[in-house]
Amino acid sequence: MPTYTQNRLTLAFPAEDIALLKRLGELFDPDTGGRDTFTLDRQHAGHVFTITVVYEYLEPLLRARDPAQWFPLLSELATMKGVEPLTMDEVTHLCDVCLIDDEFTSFAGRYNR
Amino acid sequence: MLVPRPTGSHVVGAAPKRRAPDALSLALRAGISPQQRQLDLQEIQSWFQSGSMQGGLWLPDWAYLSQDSAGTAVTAAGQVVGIWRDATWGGQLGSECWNSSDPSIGQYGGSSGAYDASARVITNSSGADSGFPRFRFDLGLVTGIIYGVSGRLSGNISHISSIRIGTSGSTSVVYNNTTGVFFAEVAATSNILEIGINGTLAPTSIKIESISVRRVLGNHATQTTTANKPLSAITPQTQLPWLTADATDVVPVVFPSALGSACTIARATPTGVKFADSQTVNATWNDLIRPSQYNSAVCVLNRAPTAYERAVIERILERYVPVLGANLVINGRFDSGYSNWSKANAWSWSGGVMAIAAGGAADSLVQSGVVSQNRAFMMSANLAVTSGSIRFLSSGAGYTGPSFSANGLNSCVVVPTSTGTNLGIAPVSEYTGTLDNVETREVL
Repeated sequence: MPTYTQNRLTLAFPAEDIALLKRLGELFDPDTGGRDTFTLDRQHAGHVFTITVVYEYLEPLLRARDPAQWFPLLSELATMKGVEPLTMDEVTHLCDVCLIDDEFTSFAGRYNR
Repeated sequence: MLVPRPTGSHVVGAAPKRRAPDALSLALRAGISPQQRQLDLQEIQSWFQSGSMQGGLWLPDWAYLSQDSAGTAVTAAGQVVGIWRDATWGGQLGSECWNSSDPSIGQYGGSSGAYDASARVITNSSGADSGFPRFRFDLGLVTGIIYGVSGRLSGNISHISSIRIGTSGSTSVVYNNTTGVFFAEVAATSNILEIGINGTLAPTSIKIESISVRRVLGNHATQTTTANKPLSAITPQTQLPWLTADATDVVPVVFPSALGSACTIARATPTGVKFADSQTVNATWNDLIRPSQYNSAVCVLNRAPTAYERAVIERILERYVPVLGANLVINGRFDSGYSNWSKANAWSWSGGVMAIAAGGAADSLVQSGVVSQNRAFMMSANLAVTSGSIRFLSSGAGYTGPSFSANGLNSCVVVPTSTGTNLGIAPVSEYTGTLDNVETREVL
């Protein structure tokens, strides 16, 4: 059984990509409710965000935001779950717009004390 | 006068012979044996199982927790919690849901699945897809409800791709692909049990030797979205299990119907067992865990408990009350000024309290050397609110507490995730009012 990251990661994407993000959440969530990872109820400055733990082996891949790494990973997860995979173009777009941790919190104007 | 503790005669559901007037003293509680705790638990179970009471009892021991809807056990602190089982039925199973109806068969990628009802054999003669055909048995299962799924398959069991109580995206029930035995407690994601076959390995013939799907009785709390799950935790010295939750975490309990507005909710908190009477509990109850609080044992009743019932519940929950360390804040009472604190412009001291005026939205009050990384701290302060809200916050130490906007004592429990040591207090957007009696104690 893989272990989870010790701390939660903040992941944020433009809210306009919500349909794509529902599919992304379904893929990287090891449980069955991943489609609710990103919701329009939880957004700031035009971005939807989630604060979540992920499997440890996924964290460096997510942080890399490299379509060449994301695409085979997400395709494999889609096969395992029996759901439609994301295309390379969709994955490339998500990598381009993804904000992680302080990139988003700074962007969102959170206080720095 | 002492509350009579339940004895063996109580456990089977017999009514107490006399009403007990008062709760035990703290000194006596400390002497409660594991055997007595077990009797207390069985006593509470008898209230619910006899139908005289509705609600539930959620204890944070890992035996009651699972990480996900597939029932993966919680075995360490820091793991997510996707199922929190109600302890009132002790894991008992309900009636059998399996029936003899034929399945619907999902074909894909050239698969040609078929089902022989009399022999209970599923077959597939061709196919090119690793996840088809799929045999879907409509058992009338209820989404979110936990079922015990068990049985044995024989034949080409290495050709099975999944056994699910749900469709695509559901987590497979763990099965042994040598013996064909499967067993799990799983949260249903639809009304069906689905057996999926790897079509690329055709031909396939698998016999259902035995199968059982039965509801795990009780009002269990489930959350299937990992981002919304709390995390398991354990106190460092007292070794008590508890759950940490951020603002987005929720583990709903779905009751058969609303419990009404006369409910009592008892919780184990860092400052003791607290009872809240006259509470409203709807059919879907989202308040089992609360963000930035010490989430531990909870008991919900659909009415006010008798003194005897209250004492038994208190004894069970008392076990989960942690010890708090010394107050780590220096000069949190501000009796003669704000020494040991650094303040931004809008803050001022007067008459033994700190006050903040309008326009101080980004201004904080800070004391260093208070908190440390990955430990739990209970923070509290007295507020006299004129407008707005305020919270404990330190990005250097990596924590954000909930918003406080109520007069009086407000408290939260945070776990700093960074190496900073600051205790910070700041308006959420705008706050005017006063602040006094700031305390921070480690949860031991």
